[in-house]
Amino acid sequence: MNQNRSQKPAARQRQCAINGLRLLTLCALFAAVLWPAWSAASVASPATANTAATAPLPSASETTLLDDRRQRLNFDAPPQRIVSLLPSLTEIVCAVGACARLVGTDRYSNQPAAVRDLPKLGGMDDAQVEGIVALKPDLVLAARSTRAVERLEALGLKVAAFDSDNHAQVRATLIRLGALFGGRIAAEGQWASIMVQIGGAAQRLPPAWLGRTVYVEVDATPFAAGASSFVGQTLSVLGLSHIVPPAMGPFPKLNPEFVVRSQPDLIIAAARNIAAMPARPGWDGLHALQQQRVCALDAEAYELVTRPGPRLGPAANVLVDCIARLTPPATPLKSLTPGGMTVKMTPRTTPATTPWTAIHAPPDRAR
Amino acid sequence: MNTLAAAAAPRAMSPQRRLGIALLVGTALLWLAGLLAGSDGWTLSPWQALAALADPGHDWHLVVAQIRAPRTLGAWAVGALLGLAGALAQGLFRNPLADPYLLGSAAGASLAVVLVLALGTVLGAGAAAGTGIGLGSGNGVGPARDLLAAADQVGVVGAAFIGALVGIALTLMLARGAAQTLRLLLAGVVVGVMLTAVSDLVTTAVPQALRGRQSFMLGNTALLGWGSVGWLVAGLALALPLAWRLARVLDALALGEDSARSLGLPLAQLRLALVALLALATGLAVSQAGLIAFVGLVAPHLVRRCVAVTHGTLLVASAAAGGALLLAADVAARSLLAPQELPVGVLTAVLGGGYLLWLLQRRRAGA
Amino acid sequence: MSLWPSRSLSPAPLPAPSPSPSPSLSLSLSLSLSMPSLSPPSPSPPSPSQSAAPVLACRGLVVRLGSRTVLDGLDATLRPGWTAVVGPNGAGKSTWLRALAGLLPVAAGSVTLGGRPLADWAPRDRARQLAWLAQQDADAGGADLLARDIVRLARLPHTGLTGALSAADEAAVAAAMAETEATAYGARRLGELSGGERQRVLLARALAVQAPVLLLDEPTAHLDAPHQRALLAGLRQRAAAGATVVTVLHDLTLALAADRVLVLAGGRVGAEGPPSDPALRRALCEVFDHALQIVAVPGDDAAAPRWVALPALDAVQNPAPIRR
Repeated sequence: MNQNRSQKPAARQRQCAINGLRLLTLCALFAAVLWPAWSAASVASPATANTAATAPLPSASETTLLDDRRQRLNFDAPPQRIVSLLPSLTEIVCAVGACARLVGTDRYSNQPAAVRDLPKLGGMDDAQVEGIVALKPDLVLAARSTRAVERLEALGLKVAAFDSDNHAQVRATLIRLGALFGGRIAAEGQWASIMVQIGGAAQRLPPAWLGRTVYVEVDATPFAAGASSFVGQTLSVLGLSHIVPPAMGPFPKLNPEFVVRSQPDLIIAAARNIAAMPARPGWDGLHALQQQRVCALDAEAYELVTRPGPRLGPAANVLVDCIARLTPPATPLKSLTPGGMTVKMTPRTTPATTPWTAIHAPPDRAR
Repeated sequence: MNTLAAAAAPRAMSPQRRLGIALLVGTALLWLAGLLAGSDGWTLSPWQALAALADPGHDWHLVVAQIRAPRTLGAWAVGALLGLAGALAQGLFRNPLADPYLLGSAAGASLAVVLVLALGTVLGAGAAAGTGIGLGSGNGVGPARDLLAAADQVGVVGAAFIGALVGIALTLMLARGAAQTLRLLLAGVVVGVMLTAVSDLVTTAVPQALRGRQSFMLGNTALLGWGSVGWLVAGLALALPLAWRLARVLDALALGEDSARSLGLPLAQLRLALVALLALATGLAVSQAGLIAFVGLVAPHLVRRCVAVTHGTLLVASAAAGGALLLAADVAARSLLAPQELPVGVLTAVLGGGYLLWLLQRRRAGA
Repeated sequence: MSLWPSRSLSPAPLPAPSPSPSPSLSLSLSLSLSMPSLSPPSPSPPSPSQSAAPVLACRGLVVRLGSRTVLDGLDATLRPGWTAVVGPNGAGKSTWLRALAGLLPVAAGSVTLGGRPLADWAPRDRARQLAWLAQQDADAGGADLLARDIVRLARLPHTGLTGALSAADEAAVAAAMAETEATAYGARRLGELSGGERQRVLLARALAVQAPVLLLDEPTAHLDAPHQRALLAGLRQRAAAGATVVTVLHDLTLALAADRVLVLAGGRVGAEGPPSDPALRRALCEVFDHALQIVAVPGDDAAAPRWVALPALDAVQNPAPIRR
């Protein structure tokens, strides 16, 4: 401090100049960082001349598409070249009859078989921007959390981003894409048939399973699929209830203790995760694990069950097939207040004798 | 003679004793809180919790003794190891911004985890990862019933430990021993960058490993069981006495390497021993709980702001402070949004950083 | 027995070159030199005392820092007594002291302690024989440690890494802190102390080793005049008791109070001898480009004048280009 006071005026001026220069550099850096984002945002909102979004849509093909970011894309004609960066969106595009227009997909898209030969363009975190641009698509479909969305929009491509957390969002995506490719009513009919398939699967659920609680795990952290996720909603339609209430969101990160205390009647997860569950502290006290009331899904089945696309019906069938093979729980139905139960839990004392069952989706069942 | 008498008399140690008592009481309270904080908030009373702990027939015994108790102790032990490692790193490098991950241990551990996950996926045992929902493999030590799951679990934990050690060994090789601080630091940075690049390469080749890597890097204390606690406490019991014996080296180093050498210390060997101790503590913590940031950095500062001590006491107090910090973060992560969980790394940053800021403010106001 | 003059005398900082010293001046001078034997030590080896320090010698010492050869074939022998090392900036004084303490790798030549090469000594034994004090720079570390803990580090060569400090160790620590008047700062952090206080703590650390050979680099830096004088009095007492004290000093007046002065120039020993040697004084003036003149000030004992180095007055009053 003393040094500043005793500095000569010239030195102080120099110090001021240096500080000013630093400030300018900081502002320049900020601008350099924010400018592309801002310009991308301005590019992304194209000419929104006619944005009347209130009128009900006719069955003729639409030339606008509203995505889940509330952005409206306008087309002169229905897009002919489509790139899809999410497997469920790929399936939806094919379901509405635009499969031939797909020119590229992400690496995980594998249904239907026709898309397996298309160029693969990376995943959600590492989409190949150059490859996508080189294909000159009219429309790029992506998830909201795909990282390349802003970059692609900055490069002038039309990108529509969709959420796929629950049935309502899947239905909205199906209907919007259906409307774009010439068949809104057909798309609505498809959704109805999906619901019919799920209802049919629900008919096949053994009555002993009605109202039973289920825990669906999607990650070993553990992340669960709650009652408000599409998997959860399917299971609810089938007649089961959840230990994870809708208020917790579609895919909450749970305290593992919560699962143990909730004592779900049924556990659904990938086979690998099921195999690792008994080793978790306290989890060998889960009756569902002890009595093998689990659906240990193999890779193909797991993929089917966790894809929020047009195959929700077959997914429900897979789940019911699995459940029907299990012995229903003998205990009476519990109340649905997780965490308030004080049921005595006995740790496992006898070693497992039978291997975990893996469920394989029957290949041509209700496609 | 007055001055001599005053010099020879033992110090009152009031600030030291105060800190010691605060740490002891705080830790005991936090351990109790760890038993009480669960997926339903704070419904259990302390007496019930202690009774449940003692009595195997109690209703809550499974939850309190098998889930909460090991998780509490494990989180505390991980924090203690990280706090100890942080104090070691800051003393070794004479830099208050040093953290335990400086010498390539973090990069090595995450590379090893990625390799194990990638191998598992390539060998065909993993589930698909194309749905946008995170997938990872389990973590936690214990008897496994499926061979692949066993290899998976032990693989991830053991691989992380070995990876951390290999990272540090590479740094030592590159710096040709621990003789010079600057060379060691630079080698650590280089090794960290290189190993991160290799692990990026692996995740590009096998993208299914990306999610597991991300969840490892976030850190997770949710699945610590008694097996993990055994390893952690054993490591702590080994590391603390060794650190106590080596503490004076850090004191001597504080005045400069030449001063330390002039006091007759064989610096090259002693620094190697310190680096090995750092590797042990960091590797163990990282293998069980992932890369939890900020604990190692902040714990020694919390101690130093309160009291000025030699490194012997500083190392032990940093361990205690680190344990308390991570345990507090874990309890908060469990109870703020019960039954959902927040990422523990975010809470360590908020708690540790906030407390440090408050201490700094108080110091500035009082100084 | 305190070595510090009592404060009530308020002595003058530097003796003025007046023919008749003031009474307070002579009193202070006699107090600062109040040793049992007042005669200046002779250049010949002193009479063997109980704790004769091992002889520190170097032969043909060549030390390189980077690409620069700092010490170029230096020969010197440091016997018990107080030797002051002086020289122009960049002459290699600090480097030489580091090399003597065994802290720098030598490119050629050897350093021997008590006849054995330095490398043959076990580090702890060598540390018990040699105490080294670094030249203090602004941002050295250790700011968070208490002063007393820093001084306690000095006993490391005696207790080892894990040994507890015995009562003798604590007494040595207390005595060293009392000698440099740092006892009052014992419970404060090093970073809170001023430059002079910090220097006194570090000096206490060097003294607490109780080593027979002391290598001190600028020990009087940051110290005010009373503490400077008291420190040098303490060093003289130790030297008289048989220790080898080597101090690098930039203040030539203080250096001329030593038993021997060693002039370092260009990486070699330019001149060596007691301050009473006129050849040494001439060499000193030459090495410093005649920018100073050395004046004798009569001490209380007429047979033992004190030497004072002053800036050459004609150079100040009539600035002339400095001959190189």
